[in-house]
Amino acid sequence: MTPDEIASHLTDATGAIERSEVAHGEVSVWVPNGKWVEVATHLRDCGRCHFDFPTFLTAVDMEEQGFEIVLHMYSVRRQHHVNVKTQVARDDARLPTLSGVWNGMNWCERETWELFGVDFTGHPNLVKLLLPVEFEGFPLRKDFLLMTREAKEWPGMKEPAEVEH
Amino acid sequence: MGLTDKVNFPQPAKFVLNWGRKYSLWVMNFGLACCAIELIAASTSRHDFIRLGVIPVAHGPRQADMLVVAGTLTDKMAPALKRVYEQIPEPKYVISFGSCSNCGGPFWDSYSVTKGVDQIVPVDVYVPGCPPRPEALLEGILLLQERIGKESLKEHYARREAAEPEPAFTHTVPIVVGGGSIHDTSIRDE
Amino acid sequence: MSVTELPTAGMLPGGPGEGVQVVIAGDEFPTHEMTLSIGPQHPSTHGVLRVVLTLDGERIDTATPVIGYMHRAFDKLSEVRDYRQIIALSNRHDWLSAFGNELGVALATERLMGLEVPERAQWIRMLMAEWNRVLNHLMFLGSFGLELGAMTPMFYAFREREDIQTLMEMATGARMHFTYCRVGGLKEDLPKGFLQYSEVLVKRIRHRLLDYAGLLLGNEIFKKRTVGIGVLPGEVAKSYGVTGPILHASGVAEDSRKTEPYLKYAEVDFDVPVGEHGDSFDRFNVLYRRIEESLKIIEQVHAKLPPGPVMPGKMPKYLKPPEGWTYVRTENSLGETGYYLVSRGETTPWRLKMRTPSFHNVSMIPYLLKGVLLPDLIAVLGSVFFVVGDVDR
Repeated sequence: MTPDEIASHLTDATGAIERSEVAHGEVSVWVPNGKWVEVATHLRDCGRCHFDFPTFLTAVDMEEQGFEIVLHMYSVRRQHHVNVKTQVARDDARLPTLSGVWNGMNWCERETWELFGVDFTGHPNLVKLLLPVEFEGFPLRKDFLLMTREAKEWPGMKEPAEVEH
Repeated sequence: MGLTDKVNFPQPAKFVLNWGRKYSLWVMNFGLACCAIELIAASTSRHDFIRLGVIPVAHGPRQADMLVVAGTLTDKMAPALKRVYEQIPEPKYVISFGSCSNCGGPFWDSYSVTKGVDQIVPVDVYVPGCPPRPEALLEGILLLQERIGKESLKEHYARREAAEPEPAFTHTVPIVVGGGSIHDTSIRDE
Repeated sequence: MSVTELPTAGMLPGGPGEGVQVVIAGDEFPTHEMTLSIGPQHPSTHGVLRVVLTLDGERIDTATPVIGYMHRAFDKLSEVRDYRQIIALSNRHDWLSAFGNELGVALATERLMGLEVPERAQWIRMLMAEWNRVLNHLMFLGSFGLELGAMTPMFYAFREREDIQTLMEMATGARMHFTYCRVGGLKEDLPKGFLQYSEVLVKRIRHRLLDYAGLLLGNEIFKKRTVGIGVLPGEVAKSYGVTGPILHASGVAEDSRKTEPYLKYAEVDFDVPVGEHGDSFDRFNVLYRRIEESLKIIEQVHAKLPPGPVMPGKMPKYLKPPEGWTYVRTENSLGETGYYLVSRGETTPWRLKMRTPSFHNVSMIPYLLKGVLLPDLIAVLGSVFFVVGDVDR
């Protein structure tokens, strides 16, 4: 299906799409939090969609608007992609887990949790994956500053032509 | 350790003992990242550090004399490095291979990288590069062997016994392959 | 005394172990489960991966990979670097085939900016990507043999790798982290003598590949140790997000060079080798055949390379992609490497997520190792091709 067809099919079939956008040949659809698992299950089970290959799940820090969770799916049989996005609030970042729908989501959600602090309710094993156990804070949030850059100005900040001798 | 830590050996005996030690430095490969591939390349046929006596014995740290830390050390991995280093019996030497293990390298501002293995273990030779050529490792080993040849084991053990263990040699400037200081040889020297 | 059939999880019917009866002497000897932690430092080329096993005798009950020992925070660092610096940093992930990582970043930025890459640059990028694929696969040919006890393929593989690294050094100046790609094209054109040496190497490596086939693929000991071990069905592989030679060995021929051709892959002729059973032998076999396919592509690039510039005429001084997002995927040596780039019109990206194949390949290790005997652990783990820099980023 072409990106526009995917958007219209999903809007009709699930009735849970808030809006959709096609940019650079890819389609993105936004769903509300409550319908997250429902839309995901439809993507997996529907014969026209047939999304069986989880590409990635991650979050983007949108500052005041919270976090935008991005799920990218691919279908091996139909050879089409879709981006499914949802918004979670910054101070109450929670979303139901998708690890029951596709196995690959298990580790993706663990990583998103430990780097952003988004809680995936119902996840079987939400422990730290990449960071050491003692690590405090959620590094990929915009308010987590890189301490080394704060402490010392990087000598390469200026282009060679701009450096005064 | 018998006599070696109590007595300064006279020259012919010291020469022979150091000669025996420096040409049989069995190495514990602590290959972590990309530099590990260049380390392995240095041990294969084209560059071959085995002909210098440096054999990459994989049986474990307890049969090794030297530790080569190649690659980025993260805070999560640092305790493992410390444990492996402590398992190597004295006299032991450490080569820090690559700019990530020298000082953090291209990941100098990362929240999870240890900026330099010399925060964890005392380093004797720094081999700069990203990744360094295998020939640079060969030069580092040769310079290390020169230093071992002139070394006094009594001083070596005395330094280790001190409250804060320091690199094996009494020289204050550790060996940096490629020159005294990176800034002396930089092409951006103005 | 109790008599039990060996459970056949992870094994083919008719393979070793089927129908074997195990006599457990006495139920009065209770067994304990033992926890064995492998790594993070171990004498193999795999790097810092730790696998915590719980064993019932010699059989693995559960296997939990513990990753993160090489987490260097690429996502966070790329938010404070501009696009040229990100290309240089991205090299360090799949370090065996560094050019493939750079390519994705450049393609994502070019797509957002709507830049047109010159023809010659696209062909040369393809040439470099395929040589990097050969570099990567040679390493695994050697290291898989080494883990099973064969030392010779390792030295042969490094001999080939040294030749190819000399070739790369002619064009880019570096043996491993090339930083040859630029947004819009390449750093500079190929030097004189590069294409001639490249042709010589193709013939040389093709001839030497027969050595590997003779040493390993036809080797009875190798076959006994890898056929029927570590079977991964195609559907399970897809649901974990596994890509690359492992997915192809399980029978699924998903290759983004064929389904969504980028660069000039639509204009060259090559096959995607596919395995039947999804066991360790198939994964190794697919790897071997992929090298031959890459050599075919390289020869076609030699024949079709057009003259011209390698950078577009007018490049802006500061690269500022317009606001938006995109996901670009490339078929890197180990699988699908993709970059999800969110830009807000600045010189640094707002978010750059690197989707790496090894992360998903390693995530299916708990499934793959369940029920495997401990001596087969290395045969299975060695056949799961991953690079730790890719797993942890």
